[in-house]
Amino acid sequence: MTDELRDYASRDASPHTVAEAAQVLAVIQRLPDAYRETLVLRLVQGLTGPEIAELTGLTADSVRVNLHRGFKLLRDAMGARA
Amino acid sequence: MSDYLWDRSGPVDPDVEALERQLKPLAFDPHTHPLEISADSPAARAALTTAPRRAVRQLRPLRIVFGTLAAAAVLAVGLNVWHNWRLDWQPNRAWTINSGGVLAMGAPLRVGSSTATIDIARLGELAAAPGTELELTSTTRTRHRVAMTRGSINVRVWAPPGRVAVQTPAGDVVDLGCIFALSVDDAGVAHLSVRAGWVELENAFGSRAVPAGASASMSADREPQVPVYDDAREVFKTAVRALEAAPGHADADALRIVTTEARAKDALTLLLLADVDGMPAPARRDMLNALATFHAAPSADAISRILNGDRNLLWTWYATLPLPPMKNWWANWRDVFPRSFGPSR
Repeated sequence: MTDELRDYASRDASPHTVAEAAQVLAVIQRLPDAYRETLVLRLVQGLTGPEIAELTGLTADSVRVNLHRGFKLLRDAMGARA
Repeated sequence: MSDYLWDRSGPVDPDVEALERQLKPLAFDPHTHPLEISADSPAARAALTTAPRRAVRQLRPLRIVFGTLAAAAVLAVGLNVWHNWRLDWQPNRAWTINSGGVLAMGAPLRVGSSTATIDIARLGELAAAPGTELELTSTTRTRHRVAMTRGSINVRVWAPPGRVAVQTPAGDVVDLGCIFALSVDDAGVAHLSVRAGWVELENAFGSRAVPAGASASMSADREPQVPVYDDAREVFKTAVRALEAAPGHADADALRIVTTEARAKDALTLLLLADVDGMPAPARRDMLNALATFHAAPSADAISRILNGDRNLLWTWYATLPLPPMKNWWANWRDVFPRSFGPSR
């Protein structure tokens, strides 16, 4: 199991760090599809809004809205979780 | 919406930045996981002829990214549960001897004619050679201590530093997340050889952290020996031991050998040897000068200041040596798996 996780996660990450990241990711995965994909590309993969628009074929305005609403939902969900 | 969330321009949004930092370990790295899509496959040909190339390029990485992240999330949650379970232990619960039986609290064990392999709670294992005498003196949720009065053991532990220690007549041998071999001779002297990570030797006179690939001994009547790498030349090892055994004597031949035979890798040995109680100032100066040829001193006047008693400067120098970090015990994660107590790495 550790082997597989190490394959996916950064080699510099400790088990605790990876587990913590996975918990945030689990919150993101409960968001609506449009927000979830946009947020993962922005927060996990580190793409910018224009890059996400280019990659997904969505308009820049759509990505901007998804990011804004998705991030607000995520922050609310994280706050509720805490 | 902040510009930072949109395209990382403008002032850093602390909320966004905190989430980026938390999620960073799960970022998909195409360099370690190249997308292996065969352009010759029927599916790829069909897709390329029936759909815009751009769309294919967009969707496949997305699917792989999400698949990878989902798998990572499941694995990470499972790992977290398993990791916490591994570190936990019921206080005073006996350790299991793999060939049968247990090592119970306060019940001395003398290993018979064949090697006994014993689980160290859930943190690793200990292989004790015939004739080894062990006694479990403390085992709690976070602290495990086993006394060893004689014999030889190989220990493999993957756990935060300090959780596991072997108490010998000469002092304590504290695991810092590692693999090591330890023997206690008839005189009660402990001999340590570290294979992975770091181990600390500690008694009433002081302590020494010994890195992977190095060895040191400890007796009850003096500070533990300075670590010496196992692959150093024998003349160097002998000279180091001669100097630290009788520092006031300052054997000139031994000093010459130490300062001329030392390699860059022996910097730790040189620095610690120069700090041994009773070492005469000229000998210390020669050792520190030799050290400076491999690793620059913190300042031009560092050696004279150290010789005048500035020990903080000595530890500042120590911190610049290219040694493996002590705090990343988890980096030795391979030690969680049973394997032979092989050569140093």
